[in-house]
Amino acid sequence: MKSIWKFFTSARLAVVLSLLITIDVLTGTILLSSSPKALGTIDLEIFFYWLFGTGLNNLTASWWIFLLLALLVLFVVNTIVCTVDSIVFMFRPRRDAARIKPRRILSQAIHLGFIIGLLGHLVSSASGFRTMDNRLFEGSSIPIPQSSELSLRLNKLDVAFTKNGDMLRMDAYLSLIRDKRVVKDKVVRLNEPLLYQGNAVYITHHGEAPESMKFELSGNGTQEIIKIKLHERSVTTNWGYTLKLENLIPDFARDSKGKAYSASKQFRNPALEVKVYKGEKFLVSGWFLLKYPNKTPLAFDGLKLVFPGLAYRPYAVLTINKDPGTVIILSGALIFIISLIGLLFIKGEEMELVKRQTLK
Amino acid sequence: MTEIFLWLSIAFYGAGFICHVLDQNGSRHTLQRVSTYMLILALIFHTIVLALRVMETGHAPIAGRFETLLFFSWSIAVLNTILLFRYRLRTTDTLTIPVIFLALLLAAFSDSGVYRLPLALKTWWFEIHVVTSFFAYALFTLAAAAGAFYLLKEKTGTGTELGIYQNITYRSILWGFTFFSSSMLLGAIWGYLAWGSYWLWESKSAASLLLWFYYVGVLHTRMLKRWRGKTVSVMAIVGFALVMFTYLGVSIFLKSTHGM
Repeated sequence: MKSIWKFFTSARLAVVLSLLITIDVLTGTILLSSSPKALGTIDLEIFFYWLFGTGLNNLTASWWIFLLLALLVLFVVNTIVCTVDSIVFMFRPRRDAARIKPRRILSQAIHLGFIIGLLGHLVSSASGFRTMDNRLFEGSSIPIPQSSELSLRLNKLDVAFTKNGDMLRMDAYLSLIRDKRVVKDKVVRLNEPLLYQGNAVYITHHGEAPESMKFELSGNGTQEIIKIKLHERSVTTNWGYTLKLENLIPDFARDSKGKAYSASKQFRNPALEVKVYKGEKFLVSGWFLLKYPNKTPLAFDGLKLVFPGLAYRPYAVLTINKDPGTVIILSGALIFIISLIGLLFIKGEEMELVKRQTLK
Repeated sequence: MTEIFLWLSIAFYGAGFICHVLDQNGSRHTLQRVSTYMLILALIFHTIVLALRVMETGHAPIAGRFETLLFFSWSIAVLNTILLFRYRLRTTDTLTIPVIFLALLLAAFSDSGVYRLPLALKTWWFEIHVVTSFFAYALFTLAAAAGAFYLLKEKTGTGTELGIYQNITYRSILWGFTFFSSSMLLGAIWGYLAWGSYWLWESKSAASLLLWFYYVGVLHTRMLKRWRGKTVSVMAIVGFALVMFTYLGVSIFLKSTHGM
């Protein structure tokens, strides 16, 4: 037992393990670049779920991660044993007080920070959730994963570009809702997520999806805008006409007799057939080319029906994560760095790059 | 304008270096003084290049190869100046100035176009993450230079002289490690705020991890009497190779979603 303890208190072991980790991660750096198929999905999942799923099935690319974990376990044991040994040494009875040096305390605080940080990584690797590509339309809501109470609503999306096409801003005005009450409002931007009780909401990109067919019915100096939602088949206008969406052809063409047909299965020239009724009475039908808005108007009762295009609805694409390990890692890293800085400044001389008395 | 000052600084670093090398044993004080003035002038021009670049782009000069090479070499030059004025030390210049010179030369032939920073990079978390990492790289470079001089003078140098080189090596690594650890923490915070992950499994982040563990190992050699001196010096030089791999190698030879 004593010899095992002695083995793990060795600073030489720390050096050797550090160098082995360096060599292992150096190989990993190259594999991460050369095996995107096998390793490209690590960041999409909780680490351990990936490791013992995809990772195990792709050992030729992921073996270095398993080796890294094994080396890290040894390194942590080495760190803990060294820390305990040093603390026991510092506080051993009948030792002179000079042994409790700030330098020693700070060195052990660095070890402690490292262990806390790694503990945070462990928590991160095994818990929480990661969801990407959550599409949220303006005015609609989605539930927060693993939470039966919380939902997220996109109130407004504000996106602007420069003349060159560079993005100026991508602001999502979000509300976090619990039991129909807003618990937090936040304008989420890149680098400014919504953080609430461990949940973090990020905007990654944006877009707009066709929501409805838009028509303009005009005549006698007036005009009516008609929208037919894509999942609906018909609409009745204020003027009492009913527009029915009849057929959709992906690649519109006409045969020698003028009959419409699809030249292929590709959406090269999609066209929609619309039939117009007044009450039960059929008035007219015609094809609207979706790629060529405002063309092929339909005339009836002295009116003109034009298809100016699809009506789009903007949406934000959100990443919603929960990572309980982050706070632990941050605490560990802060302890580590503050102790490291303390070590540099503990004696006036230590912060100097060269011992000044050696220069005299 | 930027280009003129860039070439001026390259020329003055080059001339300062030649004067410094011509007076290796320090016997010709005039030559050494001329070298010092030239290097100071070079640093002034170098700083002007950085300032002009900041005015041109509207952000810290840390995006893309051109800017990072400028900043990396500038950090080493600042360190050299600290060594010169605070400790009156010029020896490590023999190795650090060629690094500055080569970095600037590489910058001069890199794409210096002004590109708008992507929104995700417009945060001071990113700026201080990069700045601290380049200061760390500069300190690791200085450590390698001192390590190389230790090895060169191991048989002929005095104990005090060798002690100074060991001092510079160890303390530069300690300072560099502090900067590098801070840089990794700042990068983690930025990553968490930007895309929801403090760590990404990609080449550049992995290379940073290996560099961090490598210097953990180097710092622990301080506790092993047998490993001090020659071994630490060799490790500092290998460390510089790893720094170059992390900084330039990954970006040039490997695929990485991380920037320069």
